[in-house]
Amino acid sequence: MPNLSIIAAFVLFLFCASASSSNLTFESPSPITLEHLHDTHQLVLTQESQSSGQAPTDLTHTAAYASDPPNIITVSPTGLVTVITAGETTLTATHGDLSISKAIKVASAETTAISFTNDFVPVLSKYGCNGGGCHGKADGQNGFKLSLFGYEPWNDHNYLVRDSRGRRIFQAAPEHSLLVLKATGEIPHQGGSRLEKNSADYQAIIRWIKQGLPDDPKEFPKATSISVYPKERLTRPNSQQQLRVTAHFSDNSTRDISHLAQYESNDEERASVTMDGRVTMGNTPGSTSIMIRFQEHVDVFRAILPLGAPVNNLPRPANFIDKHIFTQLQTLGLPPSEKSDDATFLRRVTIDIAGRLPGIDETKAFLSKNAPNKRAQKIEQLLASSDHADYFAGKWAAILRNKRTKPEHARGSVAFHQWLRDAINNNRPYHQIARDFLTASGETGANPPVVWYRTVRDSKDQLENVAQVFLGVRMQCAQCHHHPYEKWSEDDYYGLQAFFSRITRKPGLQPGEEIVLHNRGQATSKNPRTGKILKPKPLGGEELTIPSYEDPREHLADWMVNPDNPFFAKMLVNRYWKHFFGRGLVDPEDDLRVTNPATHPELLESLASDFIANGYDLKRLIRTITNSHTYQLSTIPNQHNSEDTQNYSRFYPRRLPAEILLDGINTVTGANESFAGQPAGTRAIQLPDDTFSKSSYFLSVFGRPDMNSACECERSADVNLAQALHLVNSNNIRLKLSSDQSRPANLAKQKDAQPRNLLTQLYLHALSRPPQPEELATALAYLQRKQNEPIPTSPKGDNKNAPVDPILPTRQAYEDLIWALLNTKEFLFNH
Amino acid sequence: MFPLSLAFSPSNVLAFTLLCSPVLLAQLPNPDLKTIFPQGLQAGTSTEITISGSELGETTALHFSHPGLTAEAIQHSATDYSPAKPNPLRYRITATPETPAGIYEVSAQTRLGLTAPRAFVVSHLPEKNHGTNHSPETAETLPLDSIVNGHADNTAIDHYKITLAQGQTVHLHCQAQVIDSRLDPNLVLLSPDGHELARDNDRSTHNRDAALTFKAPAAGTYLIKVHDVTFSGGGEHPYRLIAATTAIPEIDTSFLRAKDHPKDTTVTLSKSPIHHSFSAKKNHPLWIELLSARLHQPSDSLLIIEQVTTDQNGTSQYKEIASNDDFILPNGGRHCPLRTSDSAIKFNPPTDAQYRLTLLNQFSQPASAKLRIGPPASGYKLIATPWYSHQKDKSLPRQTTIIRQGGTARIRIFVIRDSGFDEAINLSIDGLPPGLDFHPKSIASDKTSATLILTSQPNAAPAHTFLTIKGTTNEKITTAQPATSSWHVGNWDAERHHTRLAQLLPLSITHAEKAPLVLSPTTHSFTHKIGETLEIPFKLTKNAEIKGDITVTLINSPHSKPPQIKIKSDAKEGKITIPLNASKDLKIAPNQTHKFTLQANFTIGHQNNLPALENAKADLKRLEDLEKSLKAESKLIPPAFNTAKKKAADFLRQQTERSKPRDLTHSAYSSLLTLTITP
Repeated sequence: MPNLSIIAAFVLFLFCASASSSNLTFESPSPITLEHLHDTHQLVLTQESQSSGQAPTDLTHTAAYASDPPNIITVSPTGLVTVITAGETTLTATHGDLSISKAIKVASAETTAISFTNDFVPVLSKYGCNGGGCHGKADGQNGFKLSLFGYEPWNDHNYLVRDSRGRRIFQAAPEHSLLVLKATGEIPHQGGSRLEKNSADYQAIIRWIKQGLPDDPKEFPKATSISVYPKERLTRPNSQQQLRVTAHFSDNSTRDISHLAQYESNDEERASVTMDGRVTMGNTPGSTSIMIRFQEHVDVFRAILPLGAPVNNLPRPANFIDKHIFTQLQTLGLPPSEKSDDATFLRRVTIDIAGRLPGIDETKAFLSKNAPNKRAQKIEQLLASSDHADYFAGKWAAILRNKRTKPEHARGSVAFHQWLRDAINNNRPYHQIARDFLTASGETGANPPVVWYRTVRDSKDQLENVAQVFLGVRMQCAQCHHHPYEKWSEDDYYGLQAFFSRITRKPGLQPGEEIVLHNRGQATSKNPRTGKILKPKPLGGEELTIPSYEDPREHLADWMVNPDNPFFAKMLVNRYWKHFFGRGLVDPEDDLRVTNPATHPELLESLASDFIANGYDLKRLIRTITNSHTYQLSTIPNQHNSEDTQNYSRFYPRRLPAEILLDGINTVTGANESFAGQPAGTRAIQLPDDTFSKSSYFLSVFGRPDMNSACECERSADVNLAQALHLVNSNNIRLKLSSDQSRPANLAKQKDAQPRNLLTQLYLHALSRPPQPEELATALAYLQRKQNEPIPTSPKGDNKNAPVDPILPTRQAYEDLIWALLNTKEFLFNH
Repeated sequence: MFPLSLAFSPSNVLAFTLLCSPVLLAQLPNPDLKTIFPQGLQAGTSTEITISGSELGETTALHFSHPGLTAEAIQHSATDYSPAKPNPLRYRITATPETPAGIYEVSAQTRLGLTAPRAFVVSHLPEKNHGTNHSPETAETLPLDSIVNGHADNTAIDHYKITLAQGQTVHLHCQAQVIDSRLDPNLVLLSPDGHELARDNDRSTHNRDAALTFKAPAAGTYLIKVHDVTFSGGGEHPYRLIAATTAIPEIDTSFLRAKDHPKDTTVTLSKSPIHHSFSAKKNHPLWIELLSARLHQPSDSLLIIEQVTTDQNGTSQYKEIASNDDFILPNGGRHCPLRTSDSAIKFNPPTDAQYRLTLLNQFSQPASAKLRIGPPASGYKLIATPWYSHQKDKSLPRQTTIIRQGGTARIRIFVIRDSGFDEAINLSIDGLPPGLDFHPKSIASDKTSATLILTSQPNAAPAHTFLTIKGTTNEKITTAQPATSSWHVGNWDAERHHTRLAQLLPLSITHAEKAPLVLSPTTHSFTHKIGETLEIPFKLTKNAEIKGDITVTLINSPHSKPPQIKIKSDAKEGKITIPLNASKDLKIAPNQTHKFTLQANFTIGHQNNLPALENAKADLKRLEDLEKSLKAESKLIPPAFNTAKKKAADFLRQQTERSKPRDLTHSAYSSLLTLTITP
């Protein structure tokens, strides 16, 4: 648990009163051994401060370096140690009054044979030569092709040495090779000057040419992993941190590859990184990470930047979620907002669990209730409601792409939606839902999840969708090349595809229906590029030999729902976390990878463990999340946390989803919405499939997904001009407000009712709270003013002879007031 | 050896040939009883029903499949301006107290003949008809042990309320598919506070009706919702909602319903294969059959036979020699889809040896099954359906068998040889009216289907009857089970269709219309040698305006490339010739007899039901004359008269539209012809 140790250390610093002494440390206390002339070592020099509230300081780039004897090594100002000659020496780093020494041994100063794969190709990768936008693309660039990201070094050797009759290499004068001249910009190069002449990387290329363009022998040490030092650091605003990267090889050797690795920031605003691994922090508190890549291996450095404000009077944690979140907030010095008031909580939790606004009676009852556990009780009520089943069935229907491509698909898409709704309503354990879904066979009516196989027909789509939805692994890239930010290879991709290779279909009994079944035979898949025939292989697991009679999907399900599966439970808890907080602990929520670490890794682990330990109980997970103090924090920022977007120091407001917004508008205006082919009274959150995303302009413009993707990101949460215009002046909204059955018409008819009471009702409908005195006064004044206006001499509409309605001004006043309420952020957002 | 699933089946080829015969564009009028409401009653009671459909305007009687059911036409009562007359669409139905509860059938006798049958139910529970109940507030009370007859409306939900004591169990069943309804019902039960407690859509893999069994956790009034799964509705979406305190047995009207046999072995299929070893001898075939899907189990079985040998190390070796996924059945086409996911195989052991049978559920889930292994038996099933023409517009009309005076009609016979039985079957028909003959009289040993052509004498008397078709083999008689489609389908690619076993196979000879064209070969039996030419002379008798040429060809031609000749519309005779040269296209060998039929395809100008048009004109004229006389007498025209006149005018307008001249494409068939090749 590296992060815990960091935090613990930091907490120790926070509460340690005396902290005057400081010490320096290198990345390792062990002596350094450099094996040959071209071996290097990146130093990381740290001042471990014990002052309260201080993060350790990286001095790598500010220290002075000297060695004794001095002629054995050189040390660059960036802390990179290179070889001069064989021998032993002592390196001393000095920073002000502080210093530290380290023994360094140079075993040999001989030039060694360069490895094409481990030395040469990484240089091409480092300078982006083999990137997708340059020579790595399918057809290369200007006739020169390299394998994407250098994942096929055996092909790269051919491309360099043999393509175009070897014209890119000039062995007699390596410096005049086309490859070198282009890379250094000595002759025109569309990609510009990439490589500094005489730099170490330049020399590596020259050395490879001089050595006779060697390819690697059949057996040579292959990199098996990389590791970065440090893994995590507490940092300060605008501070720097040098990284050191070590490659581990198949012959158990290790090597410093800091100068060859590629670095990339996950969030340039929070931290940037140079090509040689120097990280510069921004000044936004929170955590961020730097991805490090070498060949097909990745690692990540995580940096935490505290704000350092006092965090006092934290509320007592309601459950383990609060413990993790509050500990992090303390670490960051980021005080959380206040707890939300009852009205805000009620609206928020009703929207998030039941997909609707609270009813007026429900709101009044909740606000007037004094029970200390009334929030927990409300959560239970909402979880037990059919609204919850409606809302989450719709959510899952979108993720699982419940499409009605043809009218005759309706029975299937409705049945699948109902199946999901039943599963939610009955709180079917998630691992059982996933298994039933994944292994679905049979006919639509008997087993509705087979509808997914109707929509997602291709086995590649099937593996990609399943990996993304249930495992949070995006495999799409690995279809053609090794995933650049992941460990997944093409063989992993096709190994996963093999699980779906035995699915077959028979015509169904009715149009638009089909029967899905297992076709006996050996489950295999072919890597089209290598021609290799692959057996089914779970991600990160071993190849499976599955008897031809058995459905491989059963084996995939066994692996997937195994409690030891590293992805399955985490993916789900992260998905649900995002549902309730608007941001995943890992974000995007379905992109769990080493290089996209969680903001709160221990919390993610705890949520997953708790989920597994409690039988994959989805309602319990929601109960845990919504009962947490963290979930119930106010949206209103304090003086410190307005910029916080990842530490949950406050609730992050977000626009209402399209369906909830439409239903909410209908509730407030009293309008009746009708959806084609659905009975009267059907609400938008009850719609079963994608057809209504297209047929309803409102749902379309507010981002209801077309269900073309397994990614929840297909649902747009954006706020845009089209939405604003639709709310402000569309005919659709105007008709909802002005119909004779609408709420304004009904309110205007209630001549005996007190306007203040009617306005209070309006606020309760729209915002789940009574109006503030000033709001009420403004509304009353407006109402009065409109009522005092002269009654129009002619009625609305085409019938000029119809009698003028004397309550028209009042009705119009209510229309205006409701229109204004609908266009407030308070209405449009879940907050 | 080929897996049997890939075996060549001559019967399939014939069926395919027949189904692919020339496409027809529009058909002669065909009466169809589309709806009956209510569609059932309690034994010992009477109820008034209303029927609707096409060509029912001159319906004179309803015929039931059980003698305990009778129908009496309800009169249009006389008014000042029209006399009393029977209402062809309203009847009082009575079920005797002795009538057993069950689903029966009714066929309407119309001007053109009997309609295809429609389900009609007799129960032993009180029944009522639903009212307007589209909201929880208007929910109708559904007493326990009662039945409500309703129909789903488009985009609407029907609501009922039922009061239950704590712990009381109710069995709810929404009958729809079993009464020929287009409704695919969804049945939902909600608690008194509106929380959904139970829901069902498909009762089983064979039945899309819905059923729930619910035990009330607390006393109260529970809400029941009934609606189509996709909220479709209309008159053709009737249902019968049963609330019973005892379990309601499921009704299976599917083609391949199966019953257990005492000799069956019960096995449980699962995602892992199960094996069964047996020894078998060459020339001693075995019939191996697995019943699972037909027992309403969620399964698609696979059956594999491997020969077991032992290698030099004493280890068993398995060599696959046969397999079957789906039981090979006659190709009934879209109108009579005969299929099952069960497996069956007639296994001819290649040698005396030990064999292993492997059984698997390709749905990878547990399912119980019955395994039958034994020598082939003499059992088979026969299914008889009216001929359904292959429509270019992808429609599947709900056909019935009607012979227009002097004409022909066709009935399809399918043989399900489900015990490995492969002998010829002789056919006979009970209830065939005088002046009517049929052929062929047998189904060959290698065939699984046949098309009976029924040919009437020109002077055959009108008749309305129900046929019983029988198969006889070795003195054992098997009665063919009729089959009918449940409703008309406009586009088989997009619309749900359903065909079921029936109780009635109606046949009518009508004099309301004559056969448009009669195709009469002058010789029916031909004997030739290879190398000679077969000449088939025929006469044409026309009873309608023929438009364009008449195309004559052969069905089940002895030559694989049957000739097709065109004859002018005014021709009275013709001749079709086939060279019998030895070639691979000649499907008949010396000493063999081949049976075939001539088919004439043509277009006619048709006007439907001209007598009805004349009657409508006469009725309107009567009222117009009356109006004139009233005016002449300066009498006030009463509103009732105007109503009657408007009604008569509307009716005339409808009849005029119905009788508008239309071009219809039609086919006529000859009686059976035989060709014998001598050496």
